[in-house]
Amino acid sequence: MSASRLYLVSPERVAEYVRAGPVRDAMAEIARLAGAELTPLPPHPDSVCDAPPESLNEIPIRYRQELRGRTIYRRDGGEAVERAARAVASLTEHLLDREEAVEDLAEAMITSYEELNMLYALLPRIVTTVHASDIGEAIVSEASRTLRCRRVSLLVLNEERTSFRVLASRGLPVSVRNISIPVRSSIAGSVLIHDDLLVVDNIDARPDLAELSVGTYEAPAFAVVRVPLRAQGEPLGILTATERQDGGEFTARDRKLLEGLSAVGASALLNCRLHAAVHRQMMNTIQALASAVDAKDHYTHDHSGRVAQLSVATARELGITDDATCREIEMAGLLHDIGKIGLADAILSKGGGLTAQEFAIVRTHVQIGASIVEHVEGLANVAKAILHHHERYDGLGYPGWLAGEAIPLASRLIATADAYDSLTSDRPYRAAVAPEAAIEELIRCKGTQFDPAVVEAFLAVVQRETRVLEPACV
Amino acid sequence: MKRILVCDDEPHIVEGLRHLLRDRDRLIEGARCGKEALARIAAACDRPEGPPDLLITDVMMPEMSGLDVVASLRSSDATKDLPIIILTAKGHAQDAAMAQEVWGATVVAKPFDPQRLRELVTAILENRLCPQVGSIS
Repeated sequence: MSASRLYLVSPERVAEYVRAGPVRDAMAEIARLAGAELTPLPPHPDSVCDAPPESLNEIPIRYRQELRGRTIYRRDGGEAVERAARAVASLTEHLLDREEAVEDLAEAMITSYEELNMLYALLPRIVTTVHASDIGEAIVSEASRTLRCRRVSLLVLNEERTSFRVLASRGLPVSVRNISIPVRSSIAGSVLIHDDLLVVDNIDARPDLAELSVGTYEAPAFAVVRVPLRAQGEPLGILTATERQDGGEFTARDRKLLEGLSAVGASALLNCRLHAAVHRQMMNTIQALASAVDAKDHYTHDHSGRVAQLSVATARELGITDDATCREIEMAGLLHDIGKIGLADAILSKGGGLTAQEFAIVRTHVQIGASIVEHVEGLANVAKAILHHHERYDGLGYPGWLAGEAIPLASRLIATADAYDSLTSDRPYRAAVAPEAAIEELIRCKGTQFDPAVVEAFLAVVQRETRVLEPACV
Repeated sequence: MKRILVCDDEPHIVEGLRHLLRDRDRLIEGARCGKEALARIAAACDRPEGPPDLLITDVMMPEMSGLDVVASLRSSDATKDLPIIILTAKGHAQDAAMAQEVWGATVVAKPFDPQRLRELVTAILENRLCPQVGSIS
């Protein structure tokens, strides 16, 4: 008796397994036990067999509600063949399921790998900066690269959380780079409120969003994906990517990458805000200390503040752009006389009539000041600047008798600004000197008491400021 | 006529300064030690002409240092505003700060630039100098 045939029209994904190998052998065995012979067919066979269609039965092979293949057998093969056909179909469905799972896993792995790669590239760039704009730049450029999008923007919330502004962008027209986007009536705002990823492939299909969109900025002609930035539950902004270079839609992988970016970006931005807050607090404390000194020394109001401001302006005039250095100069300017807190009022108020012993005490204010500031972590340079702010360029100052470049630059800047501000302010024992006379004095002491290069830069600053203060002659 | 008193225990320095600062309407006198300088100034104060217009003094001198001279002058009403230039080497920087910041003297490091010293003296005699710069003054 010739064996009945059992045909398997194999689904595309698993055709390989069905043609040969252990899976095929197992299927053939199932068919053989039912007295049939398994004949695998390619996914889209031209014809199955010669038998008339009405004599055949089919078992569909489905996966995720889709018909992927089928088993075919002759009706007259009996119940055993039908059961074998069902078994083979079911086995194939399992095979498909496994294949899909492996593929999903591979996709997930690739995405994770890309995510890791991206984070590796990004982290060094954002952990070394405390500037929000640098962080924004890094995130936007990374998003544009990994998602292959021509247009990327990072919006950040203002303090009142009522509107967004563009922190960094790629491919945005200049006209919309400085606009303010209201939270209440914008797509970005709705993304933030719903706290969810938004993927739109065609804005026309979403009239609810089109209504919200803020002009050319928010109406995407192409697929767009937006993700909220949140750190420790705090909403910070929105990251948007659109205009894919290949014109395609966003995949699950893209969304995942964007979410990863937003998480990293959000914590970096939060970090940067905290850093700024800590810095502000520190500057406030330093300001308070400086005012305490100014009050004690009978100096006119805000002497330390002016010395700090003039010193920093002079530093910038000398071409110093490094923020950290300028901050140190500012703090040193504010705190240069902090050591006077430790001196007796009786001595300070004596002015010019000091004895040698009393003056020896006054001189210690530079060491006292330096040792006060030394205890604050990260202010070692500030302490050094305070210690040497009474050195003279020709080496006749104190406490180290340092000369020339051996004196820290911040100290040379402060020495000049301090002298100028003292001269141009009233003192209990003499009236203020006119700015022109004080300038002449600085020029006369150039190279002896003061660093000549610092004096030159200082004069440029003072002359510019005077011009700003006085209305220009017509 | 402006009167300058130069005080140094080295006669050739006195002579050198006299030569360097010489001018038509200047009278430059010398003193070989601090005591002599104080005595000359005190004597001048008793005369109608009053104290000199400028004292230039060295720091390192036997018996009485230039700083002692300045301290003594500043304790007297007649000379508390007398313009003073102190010539000093770097080894005496600590005292120089006192002279400048407390006593309002102008401190010049040795060796000095002759041209600059001449300009400084002219500025002082023409009353073009600011009150001294310093943390206390």
